Amino acid sequence: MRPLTLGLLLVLLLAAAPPATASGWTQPQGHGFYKMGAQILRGHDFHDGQGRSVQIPTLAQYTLSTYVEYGLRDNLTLITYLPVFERITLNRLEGRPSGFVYTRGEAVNGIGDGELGLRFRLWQGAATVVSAALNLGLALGNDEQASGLQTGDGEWNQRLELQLGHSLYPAPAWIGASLGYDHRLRGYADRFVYNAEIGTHMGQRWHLILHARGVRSLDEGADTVRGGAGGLAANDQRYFSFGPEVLFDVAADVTLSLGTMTGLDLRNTLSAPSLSVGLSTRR
Amino acid sequence: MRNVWLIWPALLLAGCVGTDYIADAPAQGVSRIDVQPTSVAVAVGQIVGLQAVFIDEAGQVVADIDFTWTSSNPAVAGISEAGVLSGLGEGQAYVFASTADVVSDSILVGVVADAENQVAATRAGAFVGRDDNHENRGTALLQPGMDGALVLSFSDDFYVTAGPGLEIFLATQDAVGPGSLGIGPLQSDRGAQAYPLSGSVRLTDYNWVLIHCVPFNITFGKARLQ
Repeated sequence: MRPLTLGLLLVLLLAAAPPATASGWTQPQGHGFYKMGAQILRGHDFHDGQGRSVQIPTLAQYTLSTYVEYGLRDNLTLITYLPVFERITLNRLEGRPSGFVYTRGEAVNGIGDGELGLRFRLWQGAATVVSAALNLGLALGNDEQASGLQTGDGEWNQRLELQLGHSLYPAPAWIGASLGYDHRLRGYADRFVYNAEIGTHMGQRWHLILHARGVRSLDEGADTVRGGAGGLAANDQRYFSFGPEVLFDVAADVTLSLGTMTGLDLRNTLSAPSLSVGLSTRR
Repeated sequence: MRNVWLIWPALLLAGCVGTDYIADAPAQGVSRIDVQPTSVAVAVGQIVGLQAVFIDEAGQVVADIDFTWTSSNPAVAGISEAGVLSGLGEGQAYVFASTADVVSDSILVGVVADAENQVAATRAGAFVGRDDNHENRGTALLQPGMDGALVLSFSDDFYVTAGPGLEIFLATQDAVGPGSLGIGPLQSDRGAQAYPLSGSVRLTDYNWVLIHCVPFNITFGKARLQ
């Protein structure tokens, strides 16, 4: 392949790379991707370990987070995720006509569990990249709430992932996928985590990504460890979630994103659509 | 562009604790017969008067009912048509009152050789879990403590699935609701434990012990006091 052709192909690959990659691409050395995000999860339909629906008082989780990918080398990227502020609310539940208060209502605020990781590019072809990532769970959140409104699970898990990214050039699109094994501690069950996404550029400033994400626990968690209430930091979880994310370049180096996810095949988790908004930049 | 940052404070303002409403469970609309006391200890030769009350579907007491009294072991505990119990021999028996359509819970009668060995009146029930995900085993025991006030205790083999905000309630029916009495947080999800009750609680005030997840209004397990 002639140098000019190879150079043009690399430029087009970068142009087709996702704004917030979860699909194996590493950041160039000395460059980074920085995102500040907010997410809302709110619902009252809890699914227990058998998948049965249980109506609970409305539970909501509000998260403000930062996400950073920084290229230590061209083939090695440092990844950090930090929920700098998390608020969980549980509604008061009142009976009618008695006025009897079944649940008093409660709210907790704090920092959530973060992640620190490295992504190492194993192989890169003309249109495909394969990477391995090791992520360490940072148990920064509060896992000692008697009410179960935990902002963290209190365990320092380790997740090893194999990640794949593939450009669909000449179409302005890409696909990505990852499969990981999450080793968890303190009575929490290990689990498989998988992600898939397909993204496309719609003109110069608009982008669309369809996300799918799944968690499948090995269901070997200690029966004394239930985790957080309402599925927010629960043990033995299973779910498959999916949804779109729309991105708009509000400035040359700033992207605004808006996404939503919903779930299927739920175990020990809250059935509720999540809404997320984010601002990101590349430097 | 600057206005984009207003998204975050707007999201925080949305995070207030609201109020949800649910319809109260209807009172259990069945007739019943309540017998008091709900357990008796007598000495041989001693007599104790039992009292039965018929309560209709609306929860109203019905007067002038003729009850039929039955003893499971007439050689140990005799019972007259007027509900007078007689200790006749050492051992245990169950006694209940009935009408044509309704039968009371059986009350346990313990007959001992002499009055000094009488056991205190108690009520007990076995815990049952909500489902496969909410196990509950062991026995609840309600009996007078040293100061005469009742004490609720759980047996050594007590176990309930761990959960957030588990508290104990005494209730007249098998659900937390108006009229339930909150005892306090569960001390442990397993093993023997005891909860002193207020002196105003009587042995027959409540029929159920409930292990209830207060934050999410889910009863993990329950024991019906007999």
